[in-house]
Amino acid sequence: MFTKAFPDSGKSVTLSFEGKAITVSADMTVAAAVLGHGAKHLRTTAKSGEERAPYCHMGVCFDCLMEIDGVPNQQACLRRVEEGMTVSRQRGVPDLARTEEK
Amino acid sequence: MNDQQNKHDAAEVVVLGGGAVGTAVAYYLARAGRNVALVELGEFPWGSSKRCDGHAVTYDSPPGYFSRLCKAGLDLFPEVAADLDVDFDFEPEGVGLLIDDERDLETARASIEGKRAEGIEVQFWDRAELRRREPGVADDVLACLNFASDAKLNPMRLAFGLARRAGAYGARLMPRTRVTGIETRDGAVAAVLTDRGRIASPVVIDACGVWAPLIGQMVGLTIPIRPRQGQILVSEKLRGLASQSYAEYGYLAAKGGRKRNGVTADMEAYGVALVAEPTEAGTVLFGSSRRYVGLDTSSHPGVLRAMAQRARRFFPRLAEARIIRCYAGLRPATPDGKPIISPTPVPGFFVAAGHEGNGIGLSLITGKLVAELLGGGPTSVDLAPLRLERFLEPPHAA
Ligand SMILES: Cc1cc2nc3c(=O)[nH]c(=O)nc-3n(C[C@H](O)[C@H](O)[C@H](O)COP(=O)(O)OP(=O)(O)OC[C@H]3O[C@@H](n4cnc5c(N)ncnc54)[C@H](O)[C@@H]3O)c2cc1C
Ligand code: FES
Repeated sequence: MFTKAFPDSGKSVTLSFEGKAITVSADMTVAAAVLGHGAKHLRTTAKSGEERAPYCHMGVCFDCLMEIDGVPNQQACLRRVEEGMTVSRQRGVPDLARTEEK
Repeated sequence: MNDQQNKHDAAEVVVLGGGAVGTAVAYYLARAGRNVALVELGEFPWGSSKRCDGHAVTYDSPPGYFSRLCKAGLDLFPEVAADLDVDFDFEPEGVGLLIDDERDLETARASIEGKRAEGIEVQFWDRAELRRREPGVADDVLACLNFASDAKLNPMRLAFGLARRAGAYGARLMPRTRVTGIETRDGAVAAVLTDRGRIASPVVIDACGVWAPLIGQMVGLTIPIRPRQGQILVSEKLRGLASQSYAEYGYLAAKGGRKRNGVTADMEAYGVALVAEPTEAGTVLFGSSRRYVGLDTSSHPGVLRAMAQRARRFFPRLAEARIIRCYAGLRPATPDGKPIISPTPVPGFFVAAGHEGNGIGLSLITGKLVAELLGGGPTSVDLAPLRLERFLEPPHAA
């Protein structure tokens, strides 16, 4: 039933997920990579802080949002893993006022 | 014809259209103990009421009859919110009108007294006050008229909740049912024909929004409502863009024909003006546009671009945000911008439609007034300015 999102390259990459190094096949999405490493949720909601996990895996539902290389609100199901990537959960909603100060 | 109907195929009143207006009418009638049926070709809601913003406001009209009608409509929400078992996120947190033209400062200040006299809460924020409250607003915006009690809500939940509560009060809900004709006897309404059968009834309320004219035609009435399309952009979920709703003052002023600062030819052609609404879910809705393009509800890239440019002019941080969705809806527009809440020359046929850009905010007051109208007593608001006849009898040339 499941096939890889990208053609098999036989390579693997190492990325950081919540500060922990994980090594995965280079042919997957970020969402698949972190789920495969036991993550049960990828983000928390703005209002109630509830945990959410990828639902559609095709870019529609926005329930897979993560912070990737410092950029908030990224759809982890649409991003391919890359060597050295830094990935963390999207906690609530990002604040534009904060990014402006950076 | 046979009057010995199965009681399920008869009603005292049949409401046509399950948008914000039709569900509100059915709700007030059912609450008053009327035997009412609510017929909608889709779900509750299905038409304009699920393709719009969620403002229930008083800011967009000069002091006068229409402004007071909007205020009366806004005032009904808290009580109805408490009565429904669906939370429709009613938030009377205020809507600000942003002023970016020196020439508007004087007129804006002058309008405050008239609105206050109608019981509407208006505050004047100078530039410093505005920047303090809304740091994301562009530096050269001069001031803001804040309509502190204007509200936002979720229109889909409102219409759904009204239909559901109407059902609990005994209304017969008929989703997925298309009205195909109206039967008359001796010129008066006798029954509603649908693709699911006939409902005998002496009274019909046409609450079909932009489709109200098609229902009117079924009894030979001309109802002058045209669809006025509007588009919306939806941002990703974020904070720091706008902490409450805003619109641009200049657009109201521009109705007098004056050109606004920084408006492009596209913005002019597409009737683009800023409306920003942060939703309960964390997204921000950006509008608005106004075009007559029939029943077309497809998004138009040129309109979207012009709206995004206009929004960035007031909220520069939007450049950092992503847009995740867009949609378009249809405002039911009458020639004078006011709704039609009215009996008609056809006995038993009433119209409750044509609310243009205020059908959400005016939904409850419309329901209440229709219930009063059918009750035969005096209505709590004078309905003379909203009668269909104002369009049927053109005034004589002087
Ligand atoms: C972009 C945009 C933003 C807006 N923002 C706001 C806002 O912030 N605040 C506000 O107050 N208003 C706003 N409006 C206006 C508002 O959307 C409308 O005034 C309101 O939704 C009209 O409600 P209605 O119930 O009259 O019509 P609708 O919601 O369209 O309901 C009419 C119903 O009749 C049904 N129908 C049609 N034909 C038949 C048939 N033959 N048989 C059975 N059923 C039928 C349709 O399916 C439809 O559900 C906005 C509009 C747009 C386009
Ligand atoms: S899982 Fe639905 S958008 Fe990514």
